[in-house]
Amino acid sequence: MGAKIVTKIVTHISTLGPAIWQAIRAASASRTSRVLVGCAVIAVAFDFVFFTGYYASDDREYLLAAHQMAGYAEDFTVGLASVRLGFSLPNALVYWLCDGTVIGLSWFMCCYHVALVFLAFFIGRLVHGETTGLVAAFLVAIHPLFYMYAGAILPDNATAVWLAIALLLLEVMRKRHRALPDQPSDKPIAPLTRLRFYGGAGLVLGLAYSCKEVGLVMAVPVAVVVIATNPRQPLRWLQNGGFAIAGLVFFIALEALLLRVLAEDWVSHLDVVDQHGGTFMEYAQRQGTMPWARLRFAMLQSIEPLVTHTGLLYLVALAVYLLLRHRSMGLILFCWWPFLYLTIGTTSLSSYVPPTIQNRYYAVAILPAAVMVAHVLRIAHAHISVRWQTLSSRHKLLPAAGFTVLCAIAATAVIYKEASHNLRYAGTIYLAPMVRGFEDAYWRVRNRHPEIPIVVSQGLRWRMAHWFLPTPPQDVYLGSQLWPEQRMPEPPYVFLEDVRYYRPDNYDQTWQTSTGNCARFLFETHASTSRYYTIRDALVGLFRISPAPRFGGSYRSSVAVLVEPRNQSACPPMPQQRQPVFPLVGHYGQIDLHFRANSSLITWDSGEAYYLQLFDDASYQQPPAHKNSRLQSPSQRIRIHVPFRTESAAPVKLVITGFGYTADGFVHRARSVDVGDPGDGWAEIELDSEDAIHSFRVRIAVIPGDAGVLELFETTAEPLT
Amino acid sequence: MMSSVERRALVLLIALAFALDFLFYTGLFASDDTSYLYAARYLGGDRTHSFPPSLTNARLGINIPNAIFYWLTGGDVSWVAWGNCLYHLGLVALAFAIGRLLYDGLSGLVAAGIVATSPIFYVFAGAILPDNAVALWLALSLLCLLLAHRRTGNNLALYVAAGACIGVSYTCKETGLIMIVPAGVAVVLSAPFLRSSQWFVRGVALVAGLALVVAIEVLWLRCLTGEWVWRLSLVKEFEGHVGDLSHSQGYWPWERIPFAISELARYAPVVTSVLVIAAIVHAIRPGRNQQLLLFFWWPALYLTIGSAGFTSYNPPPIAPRYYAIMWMPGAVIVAREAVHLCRQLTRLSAWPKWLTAPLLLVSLTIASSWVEVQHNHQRAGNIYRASQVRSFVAAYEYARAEYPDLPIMLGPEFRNRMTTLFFPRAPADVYVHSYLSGRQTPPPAPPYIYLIEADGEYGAEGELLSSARKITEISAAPSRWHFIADTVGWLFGGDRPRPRLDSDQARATAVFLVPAAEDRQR
Repeated sequence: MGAKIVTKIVTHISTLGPAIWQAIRAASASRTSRVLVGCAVIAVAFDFVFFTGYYASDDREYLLAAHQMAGYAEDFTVGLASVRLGFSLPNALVYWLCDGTVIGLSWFMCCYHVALVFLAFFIGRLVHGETTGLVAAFLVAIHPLFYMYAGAILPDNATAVWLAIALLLLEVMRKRHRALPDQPSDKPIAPLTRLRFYGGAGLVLGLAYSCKEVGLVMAVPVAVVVIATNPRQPLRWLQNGGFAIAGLVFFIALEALLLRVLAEDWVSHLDVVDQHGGTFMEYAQRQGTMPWARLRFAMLQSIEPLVTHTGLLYLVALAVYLLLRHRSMGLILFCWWPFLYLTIGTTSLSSYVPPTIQNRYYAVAILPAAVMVAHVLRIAHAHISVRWQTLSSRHKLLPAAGFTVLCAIAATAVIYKEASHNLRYAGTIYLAPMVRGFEDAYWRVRNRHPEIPIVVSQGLRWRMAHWFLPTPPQDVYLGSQLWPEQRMPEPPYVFLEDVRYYRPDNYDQTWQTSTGNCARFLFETHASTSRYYTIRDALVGLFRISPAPRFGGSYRSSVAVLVEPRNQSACPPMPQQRQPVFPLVGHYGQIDLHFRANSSLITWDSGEAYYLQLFDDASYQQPPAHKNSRLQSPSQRIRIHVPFRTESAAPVKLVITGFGYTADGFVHRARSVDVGDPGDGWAEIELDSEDAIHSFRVRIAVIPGDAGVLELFETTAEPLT
Repeated sequence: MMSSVERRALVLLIALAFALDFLFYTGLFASDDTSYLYAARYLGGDRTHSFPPSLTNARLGINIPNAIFYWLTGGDVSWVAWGNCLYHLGLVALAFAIGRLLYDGLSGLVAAGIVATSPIFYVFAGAILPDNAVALWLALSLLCLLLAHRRTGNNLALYVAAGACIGVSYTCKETGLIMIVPAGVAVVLSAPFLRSSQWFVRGVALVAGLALVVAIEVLWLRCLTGEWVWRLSLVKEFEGHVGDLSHSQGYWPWERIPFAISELARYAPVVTSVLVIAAIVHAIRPGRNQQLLLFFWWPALYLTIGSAGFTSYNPPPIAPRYYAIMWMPGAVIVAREAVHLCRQLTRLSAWPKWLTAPLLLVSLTIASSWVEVQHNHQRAGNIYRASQVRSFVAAYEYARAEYPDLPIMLGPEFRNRMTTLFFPRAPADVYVHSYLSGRQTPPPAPPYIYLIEADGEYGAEGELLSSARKITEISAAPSRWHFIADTVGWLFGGDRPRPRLDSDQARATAVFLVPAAEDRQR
């Protein structure tokens, strides 16, 4: 008997392989499937390059919620993240499956982007045909608002997925109604089918709301679409609306029950949101209160920095779509309604409280927009290629196929430009640069001093504690409420601090005088913050064995201090001057740039007087957040003195731009300096302004000629009479 | 014409071979390749130093392609090493061509699969070494002979080409010359012996091709070195060193044959056994191919129990990579026998229908290659002194990152071996070697960073100053397997560590700092 069962199982398994293979072959035989899979691969590639991982901001709460829901902690903290069950529960499952690794959860987030690609195809195909679906899938795969945040624990892409599913269900029903124009009124689509689809749409809408509260405002477009599907049959749309509401209410009730079980108390989702509402109110107010100001802010300051090249195309195509005869109301509403709500809507019904504008929030509107744009592009291409065919046969121009190739090349160029423009932000969202600096310092200490415990500074620990989930190593002290049982180790230990908070004087007082310990500065790390440069470095490392050229990019630093018990003798003095304080070494191509600054003159406190910007190749040094160097006495005319030394054998061109800041704005002037011979040099820039200049800064762009070393010294400014 | 399935499978196998080459890529290993790189640099147009008539300089067959890569990449040593991977890829294509020519597409693909996944090729593919190049040229020679044999007529051009290919293989490495014997025998066997002069004419064509290449080589070397260079006389310079090594590997055939098999099995335990069995079976089975057998057994026997001298018995040293020249014909033999066996098996009534001969062969190839990759993974990028190179690069990068302002001076061992890493020009603040920089620059004044091998043969005496302070000792992971695993982990793990420098196979390098000028004491 047993042998029979085993034989059956083996036979089934042996037939399973060919069956799967057949299925894959059948799918891959279709060109559409291959293009669609290609789009998904493109999306994954973008997600890989722009992957963020842990970024020590909002994700801390989501991580904690997943940690608690996965059963790694006994308590359940009620917070904004933990009530967003639609987002946190799948996270908890993945967290549990990955055995509590943060990174696994971050990669799981990319699945939402891939799902959006497929959903765009299905919606596009359903509404406007297969070609539109494929183009929409491609547009979704390459949209910066998706890939930029795909590899970070954020709920926006997840919300977009659930809303897209709701839209798909509604569009399916709309299509079915249209397909049956002559159906007798007493023989409509079966109620069970309508319950399944409309109830499903309501349920999915509830899921979207459970990921992020903006999902709830989408009840309005859902209601309009339900009505518009059967506008002349009030009973029918009332019934359908009832199904949708039932679905939504069912999910909300389910969510409340689940929260009751988890929190052991009744928790109102919206109440929790309301408690957090005040946090961003000031921020939202600063983005403008008048609709026009807020629209301007959203378009130009929030979305435009990422969607640089395709933004205008979207705007034009969306406007054109409104004029088309076969437009879809569902698409229009699911795109414009959240866009308008997130820009000029209100989060309160009693007074006008605009929501905070952040570009990633608009992810919920992108998918319908992509489908509409895809449709407009398809129609435009069809029209133009017909005209082109006529023209080309008349004037012997390029054939239509050639025209299509030209269009494809132009589109690739635009996409490439946009992606390469955004590469500088790859993996740098929110506080990710700080995390990179910390990781660098932490692993360096682990490698160099494996036997010494680590104490994470107070400034870092509340941001970085979640990085150590589910359990920190025994010899790492975080002082976090997550692990109250941890005890501060006795010296010697290594103290990790963010470079911005590092003050030798503070450590003198804190560690040497009062605690009776000695502190010794160990090192300062510099981690490349942009994933683009990380990947480039890694790829070069895989293909090279000789010392590889390190590519530039922003760096973030952390500091390690060794704290030891005081001996009989006095402690050695801590370095009063970090040497070098800002040793940014940017390598690009064959130029080596060594930045040094004297800490007594230019420190992080008083602001950097210069930063590096390499251009022409999209290799851009993002300036660190800085204050300007303040002048001792404000003046209407100042002269900025920029000394430098070059060891370059070949000419290097410096473009030095001085900025002078007044109460109302700033003035600036640029100067180009050709540095030919090695040695000391300087550049002077005079600035005039009607108002008094109170502070200044300098930007230096280096146009590399050949290998060389450029050293910059303290930049000074003097008032002129 | 190749079928589309064959074409796709061949592309896949070439991609697989490249993937393995990538995994096992070595780059500079600071041994023989240093000399080849100097030659490539000279031939690539950089005449900073002279071109003495040494054995490595005289091997124009590999120096010229290396020089082309050097010139194309602006003197990038890594890319010169990558260029050497092309020999392995070419061998895959040739194995397919020969297998298909002699038997059928499936045999060709199996032969190509064996060549693609043989550690004898891929472990050394990404290093500047002549063995894969010799194997490629000899495989081309075999192909020419087989084509000539299959076509009607004299096909003298093909015999000239076969001879020329043997000549080019000789310009890569002297071992190539011995293959004139099996080629000559193949020519004699190709024509009715004593009944016509066909074999004689073909033999003359074969020798003419060889002579032509040798003559060009001699003339070229005359132009480069300014003197007449006879390469076989240069080999004698190494006889003492090599002789000691080969004698330590055994003197009598019954000592040397097991030693050779054990050495080969260290790299390719599965394929070596299969190869030996298949070659014996093929020799005794009807329908054997004489050319294949000659091109397999002759180098196998020569490299194991042959003699490098005519006056006395000087067995050549046994090293697995030397056997690359017999591996390709061996792979075709294995393919032939394996396909035959599998077809016989699948005809059995009890055999499951779904397990077809191609599926069985693909499964077996995958299984054996997986075993061998696992067996060799510690060797990935770790041949000869590659570990020393890794530790040096790690120490150098550490010094650059931590002390960007200080010049770097290389210790004598590093100066000797690592200079080529800095081709085409060393940075101004790195004191490597006057030979490299082309001018007699004085060593930097302290303070500077001094990089030496932690357990090097050369002590620090006479080089370091009394105030020298040890900064750190760097351990580098020489195995590319670890390095790739770390790098991939790093790329996928936003919150995971950077590539670690330590591993169980690390070699250490010490970094010293000489802090004060006034302490300089020689």
